[in-house]
Amino acid sequence: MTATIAAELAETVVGGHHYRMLFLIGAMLFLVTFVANMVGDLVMHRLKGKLEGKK
Amino acid sequence: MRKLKIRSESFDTQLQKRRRWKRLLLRDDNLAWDIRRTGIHLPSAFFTSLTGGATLLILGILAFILANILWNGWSGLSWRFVASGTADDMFDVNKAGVFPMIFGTAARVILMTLFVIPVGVITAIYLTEYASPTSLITRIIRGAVNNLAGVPSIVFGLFGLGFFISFVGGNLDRLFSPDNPEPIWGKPAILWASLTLAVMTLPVVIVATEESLRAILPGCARPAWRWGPPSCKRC
Repeated sequence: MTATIAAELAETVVGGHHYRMLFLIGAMLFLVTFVANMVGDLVMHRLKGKLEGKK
Repeated sequence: MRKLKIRSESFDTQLQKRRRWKRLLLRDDNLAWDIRRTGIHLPSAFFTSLTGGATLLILGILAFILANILWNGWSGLSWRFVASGTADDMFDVNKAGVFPMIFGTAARVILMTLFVIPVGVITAIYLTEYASPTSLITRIIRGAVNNLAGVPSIVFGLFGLGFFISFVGGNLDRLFSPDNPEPIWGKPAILWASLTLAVMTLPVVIVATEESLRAILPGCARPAWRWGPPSCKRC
């Protein structure tokens, strides 16, 4: 996905369909990292609470 | 002469000690067979060689890459290549130079440092000295920093294009020269590039500054705080 953006962004018309789709791919990449980070943070927080014995 | 004799004697005693130790090992039934036989603990030896081998492999790969680059690139390296521009012919290896790229990289990194240091250091100071470690806001800020560190760099590039060049630059153009169709701010520039890079390096700066601030002993931090802000966690 990252390679697609890097390779094709230079050939697109600014504001056109292709351009917008590439931005959509970027948004999807961001969403994936965001969700993964959030789930990891929640799991870590719960685990920390359990291991330290406080609720 | 005397010195030499002493050394040889001590070496002899060392050897004797080692032999005695080995005899003891051979007799001890509590020890595993590998130590009794050879004086070597086989699992330890195995893992020592495994980890050492992995390190050597990485060093070998690095050496191979460096040697390959040097071997293939040595002939093209010259002062003209480093110090001249691409004005003559950009695609002819014998005429082109990379000085504009070197200059651009240096300027961008310096500008990026100017942008990222104040924001990053102030955020890190806030996180270590003022913010409550259990509050929700601190958790959100930390999550945002971690998230920023995990996002692929191409997304930062898109962000720079969409936000800095199109949005900020476009609006600056509309504000200052609404009649001019030629964009002044709304086009690729070293300013926008360095701002994008500053956003990208922000988590690195924040984490590094936080670590170094946390390494300061409380006894050293307290006197400094006496001169400064009226409230903080450490004093």
